[in-house]
Amino acid sequence: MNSLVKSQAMGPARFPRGSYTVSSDGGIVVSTLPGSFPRDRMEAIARVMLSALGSARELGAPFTELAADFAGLEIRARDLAGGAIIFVTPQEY
Amino acid sequence: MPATASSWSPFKVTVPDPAECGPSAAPGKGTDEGPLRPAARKILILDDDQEFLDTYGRILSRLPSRPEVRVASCATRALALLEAEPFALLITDLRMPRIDGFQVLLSARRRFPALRTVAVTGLGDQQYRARAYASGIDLYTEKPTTPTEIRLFSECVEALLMQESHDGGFRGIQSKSLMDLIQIECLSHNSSVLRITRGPFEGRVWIKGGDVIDAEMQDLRGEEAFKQIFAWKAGNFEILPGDDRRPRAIYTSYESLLLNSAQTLDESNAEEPGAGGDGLLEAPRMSRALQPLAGVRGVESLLLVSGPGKFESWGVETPEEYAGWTHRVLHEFQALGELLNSGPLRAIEAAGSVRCVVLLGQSGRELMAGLDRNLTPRLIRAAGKELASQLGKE
Repeated sequence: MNSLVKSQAMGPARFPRGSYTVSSDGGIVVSTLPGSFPRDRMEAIARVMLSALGSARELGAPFTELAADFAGLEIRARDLAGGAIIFVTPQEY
Repeated sequence: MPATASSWSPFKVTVPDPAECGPSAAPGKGTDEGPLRPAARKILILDDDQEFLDTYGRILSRLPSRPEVRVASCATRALALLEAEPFALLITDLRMPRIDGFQVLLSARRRFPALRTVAVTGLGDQQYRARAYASGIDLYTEKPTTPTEIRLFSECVEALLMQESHDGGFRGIQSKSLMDLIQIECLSHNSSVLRITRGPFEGRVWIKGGDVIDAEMQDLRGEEAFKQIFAWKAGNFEILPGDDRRPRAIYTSYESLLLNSAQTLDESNAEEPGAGGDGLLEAPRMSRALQPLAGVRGVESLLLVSGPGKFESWGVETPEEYAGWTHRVLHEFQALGELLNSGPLRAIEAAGSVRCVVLLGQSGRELMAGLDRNLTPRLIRAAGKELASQLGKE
């Protein structure tokens, strides 16, 4: 039992599945993620996603889709005229 | 002089007018000629207009010779592809930001003399025609828009590809130098005019009854011009009928002339090792570290950052800017992963209408790989894994 608890503590967190839309200033417009998922986490994801898309656009590489593949989570953003729709998907083990 | 097959450079045949693509160039011609070498069927299209690339990538890949069509949206990537793979034909727009089509054509003509080239332009670019032909292109045409224009354009492209294979019997002379060509003409006691072009430059050598009697290159005449032309290491030539009216300006025997010119060239090369400062673009060279990464399916460009300001790139137009972007994005996502406790960041994928890239960070190195944007999401993911694996082996 001890080893099981330890294993969970060391591994990545469990994530819900859902999506949310953010405006170009990072404000959350609508979300299908459960309320238990902290809002500040959603805003942090949005900030990084919009920053990466925006800086690429300034370089002349207008990406319409951006995905970050973590061991425990995939985050995918689709550009929406400066804002984005962001999909949060837990990785399947 | 009779117009024989040898009267044309084996590595360059000019198709001066698309209208000359008659029935012999019709689709289907040549399909009974047996299988062609794969390299003879590869076309590279360069244009900053993604719609044009998509449309003509599809149209030309359906030509009777079934060429493999690759596309590039910037000059740097086109030159990298030309360097990496053998292409039979380059089709390029002339007006593009940063590096225009003329610069690409000049560089391609110098580095790949066997490459056939087609310049396509938008309406109103007709003033470019003379300049384009002077750079040694095979065909200059406006971007086709109507079904008839598209058909004619396709037929001309097919004809150029077919010439590549039909000329195969004469291509052995490709390795001959200008010295060999002049010797052949002189030993045969021919009277002819050798018209030699190298990029925007044109030179002429007059041969009469087996003697070199004059040469001309821009403002130079006689032996000076001959030496200048002789120094060209690659280019295109055309043997024109002899000109009896040309006054003699060179009295040295052709053997002495060739010997003197060769000596001058040797001395010049010894003084300027690696000379080549003619303002032409250098095709990008791939570093040893990037070579295994470039072998991954779908990879079209690479940028490997190994520290602040230290990077190697291949096919990336503004590597400094993208190195900074790659570092920033990877750093921000890694920080986000720590905040979310989502485990290690494995890869970042970004896709748009122009390009698709994968970012990887491993062992203190950061990689941005440009991928064929037509790859499916599954293949993009597979390419990312393969790149990560290759990066881990370094």
